[in-house]
Amino acid sequence: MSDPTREVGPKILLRARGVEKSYKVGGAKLEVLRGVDLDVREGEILAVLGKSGCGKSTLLHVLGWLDRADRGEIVYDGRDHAKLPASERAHLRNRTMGFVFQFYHLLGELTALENVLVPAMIRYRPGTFGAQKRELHDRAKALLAVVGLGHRMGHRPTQLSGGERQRVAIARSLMNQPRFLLCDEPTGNLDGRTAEDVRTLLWDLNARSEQTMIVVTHDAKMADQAHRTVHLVDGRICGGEEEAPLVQELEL
Amino acid sequence: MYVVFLALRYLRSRLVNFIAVGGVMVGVAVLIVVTGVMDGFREKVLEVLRGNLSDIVMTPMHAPGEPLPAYEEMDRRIRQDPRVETTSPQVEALVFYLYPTRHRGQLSVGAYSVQQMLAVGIDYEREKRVSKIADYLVAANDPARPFHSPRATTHYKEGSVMVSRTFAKRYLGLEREILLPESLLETDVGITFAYFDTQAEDPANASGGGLAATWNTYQLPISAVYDGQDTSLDAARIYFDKDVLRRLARIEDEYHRVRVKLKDPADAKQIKEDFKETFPFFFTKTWKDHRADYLRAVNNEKVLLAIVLSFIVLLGGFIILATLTLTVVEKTRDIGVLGALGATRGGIRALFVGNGLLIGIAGAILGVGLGALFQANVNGIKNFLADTMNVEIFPSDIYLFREIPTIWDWSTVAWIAGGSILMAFVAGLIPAIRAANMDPVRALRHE
Repeated sequence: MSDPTREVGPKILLRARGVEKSYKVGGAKLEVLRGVDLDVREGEILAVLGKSGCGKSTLLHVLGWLDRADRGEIVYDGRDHAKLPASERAHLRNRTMGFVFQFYHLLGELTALENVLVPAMIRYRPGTFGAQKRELHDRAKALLAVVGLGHRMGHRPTQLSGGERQRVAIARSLMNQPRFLLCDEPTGNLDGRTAEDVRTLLWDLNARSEQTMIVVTHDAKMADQAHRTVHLVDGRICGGEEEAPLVQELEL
Repeated sequence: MYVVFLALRYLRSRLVNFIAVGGVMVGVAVLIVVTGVMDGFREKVLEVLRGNLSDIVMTPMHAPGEPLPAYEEMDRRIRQDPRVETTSPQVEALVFYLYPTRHRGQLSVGAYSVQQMLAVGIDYEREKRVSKIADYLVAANDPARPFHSPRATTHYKEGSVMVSRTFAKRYLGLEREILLPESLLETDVGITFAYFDTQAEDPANASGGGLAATWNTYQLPISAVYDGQDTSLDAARIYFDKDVLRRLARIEDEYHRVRVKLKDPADAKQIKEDFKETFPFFFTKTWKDHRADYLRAVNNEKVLLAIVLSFIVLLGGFIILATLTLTVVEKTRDIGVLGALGATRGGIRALFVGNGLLIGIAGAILGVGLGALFQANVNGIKNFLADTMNVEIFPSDIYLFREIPTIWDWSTVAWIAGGSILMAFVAGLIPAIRAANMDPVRALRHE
């Protein structure tokens, strides 16, 4: 167990400046993001708090290059990847980011183990995948063991509970050893006890391997335990650059 | 990697995919069977035609009274051409066959029917070298001398005849051809020859409103039975020894046709043109000319059927299109998730095209298998239908043959299978492009 009070490193992994995003709903223009400035530091858990419908998910999608910002820049590793072609961004997303969704979004036809393997299947061609099949399977099994599902690898999503599905989704997000995780209300669909388990799991992962995470949530309890919390209000980040409490109580 | 993996999983997970596979399978199988039967039919027609005729048939067109060159002379001249192997003469006469009328299989006492027949007189020793007559013999008192009848020497001095298996079935009351043929050698047939006096001063009025005609009926023993395999030709053709027929029919000409066997049948067309020059007083035809229209019709029918039946395969394509469109809608969230996990648009497109292709390939393979199975047993199925439901799907009096002939041509099969796989590809492309153009963010929100 690593030191829960460790300092977050100063290196900035992802930097967003002046990010704007609007949607057309019916005929009206809905401005969701109106100039978001945000830094994500390596190894930290950054909580983005906001009311539901305030654009938290949109922010996450834009930061993960799933969606293009109308304006502004998002710099990762010194480069603005919004300017890359779509297929390049897809490859980069596959290698550097892991997504955890509120509704788990597992593939229903696949077992837990196969779901965890999907990012590796996307990453490698059949030949390459076949060549390292054993290592990849071992890795996926290890990840399922980490999230506490080592005994349910052959189960389909429909045979798993909500909490278990989210654990599979977390294992999947870690498959390609991403630089950071983007978590969209990871506990939003879970009851109190299960939510606590998943939260603990995420924090433990961060503690173990300094996994950088951006957690978008409206759950104040979740934000309390993050290294840093920012608030998304009216499409802007405000009042949030204060340092979050660094002392966390982990119940592992 | 995920493309193949997920395409297989998606295929496996839904019943409707298997329905689509079934659709393609049926289309492919039907096309294979129909083209196989049509090609087989065409081949068989050609084979039988050649077996009954010879490579080239020459018919003299000399004016009445003008002497026909002696056969030995003609034979010598034709065989001067080094491409010719041998020749055989034939005489022909129209005769009438009297047979007891049958009503629902029962003989009607005292009632007779008359059927016009073509009597063909051959020189068997020569004939067997230009046509397949020797192969077609199914029964004879003496296979080396099919016109030899023990009874002809004692009772029937006039000679004997060779009738076809089809003739026996139709007129001699043998319902089942299996009962053939030795029993027929105890039977005889009544043949009537008519003689017209073309030299009469006014033949049309010679004997008060009729032609100057007389006739003779002979009871002739059957000395051999042949099966020319062409039921329409066989039913109306009776073979005689050439000289017997000339005597009975009072034919003065030594021959009516000269049939020519070539060393290489492929030369037939050229030789036909050459002979038109060398022998201007003969109509010269190749064996193919004799059923040219029929063969063209068969070919035409094949193309037409192939086009019509292609619509079944096309229907399979539409099933694939519908199935995949549904799959894309159903898997919208999966598409979003795959996008979030780093799948490219090309990958998503390949996934659904792959799904369609898998359906096409599975359908084509199963269709080829089913087609082969069906084709191999097509006569069994035909007989089964005839026996159990009394449905004759291939009546031999229309289609000439008793068995349905088939051909397994790998290039045709490859075309059909390849075409349906291509169609599955095209059918999969439309939903695949739609899936690839989906916005992953909206796809993720899809409920």
